[in-house]
Amino acid sequence: MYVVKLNCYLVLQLLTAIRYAVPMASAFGAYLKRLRKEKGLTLKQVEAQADVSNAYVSLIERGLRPPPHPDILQRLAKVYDRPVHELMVEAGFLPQDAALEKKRKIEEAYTHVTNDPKYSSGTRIKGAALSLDAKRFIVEMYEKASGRKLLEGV
Amino acid sequence: MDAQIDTITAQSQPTLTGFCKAVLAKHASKWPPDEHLIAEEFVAFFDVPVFVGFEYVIQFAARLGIALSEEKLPSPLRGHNHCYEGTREIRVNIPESSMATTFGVREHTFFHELREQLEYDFRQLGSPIATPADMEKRAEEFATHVRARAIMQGLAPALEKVSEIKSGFWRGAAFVGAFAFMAALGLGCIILPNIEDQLPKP
Repeated sequence: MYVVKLNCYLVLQLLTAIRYAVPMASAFGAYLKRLRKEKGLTLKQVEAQADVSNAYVSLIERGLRPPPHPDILQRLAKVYDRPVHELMVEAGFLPQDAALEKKRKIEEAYTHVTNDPKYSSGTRIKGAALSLDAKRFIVEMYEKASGRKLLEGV
Repeated sequence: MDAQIDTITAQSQPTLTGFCKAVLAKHASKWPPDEHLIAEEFVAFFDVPVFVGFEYVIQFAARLGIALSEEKLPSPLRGHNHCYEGTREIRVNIPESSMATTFGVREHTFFHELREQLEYDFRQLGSPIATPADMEKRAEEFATHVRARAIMQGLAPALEKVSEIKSGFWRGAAFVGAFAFMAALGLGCIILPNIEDQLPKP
């Protein structure tokens, strides 16, 4: 009877761990897969460049393994050309930096806007570079024109 | 071919697309045209008046079906324009000083943004003029030339009026005055992009 109770307890603990770990693993996996696709790399290419088993990377991408050790994240960051800090935040090893996250979302939205073939836009600016505020403004103009929300909650 | 093109006026096709088609038809053999030429054609096609104030610009934008507004834009934006599925909009920054307003910075910015709108049409027609690298420079040239050209084409009628003054002394003074006034206005249009950032702020 004790053994049955112990087994039930262990199963319950395992299910609880899975309940919280799977969404985290899935979200990180999807993020990692997106990075790889953006660079146009295959799993084998990642293996060759980052010295990380392609099978292991595949398991992470599919959410079947939790985020890897920071050492591995460092190698992947180099291959995917992203700051290590970003991967560490996504993996849950570092707290979310609200300001950085906001910047990332605005830049991502701005890239989407400039790549939309239905949308043409231009500016007259002082100097050569657009500020983050200016990019945000342009995204908001796009949202107004297209009816699409890209910066919800930002 | 030229006789056919001369009949295309803003009265028959008072749109940006109509203007682009007219320019393309007239200058296809020497493509792409420079901004001075496009500005000249623009002033003639749309009958841009000598003195272009912001009230004219608002009405002009409305005629073209462009939503125009003046508002405080985030730095470093002076103006913004977009086109999405046929809907066009231009926003112009509120000038930082009354001197900037006097020099016509809003009107200049409007024509800069309008030139970019023209480029979308030229691209749709399969005959782009600007590249991403030179669009900004071309739009600045266009804006300058449109305003200067409109002023200069008012000079001849002004001098004609002056020639009707009977008194020799006053006629001479009026000639000098009219010429100097128009030249100063034209010069103001030309130097604005170079002095805009140096204009005193309150």
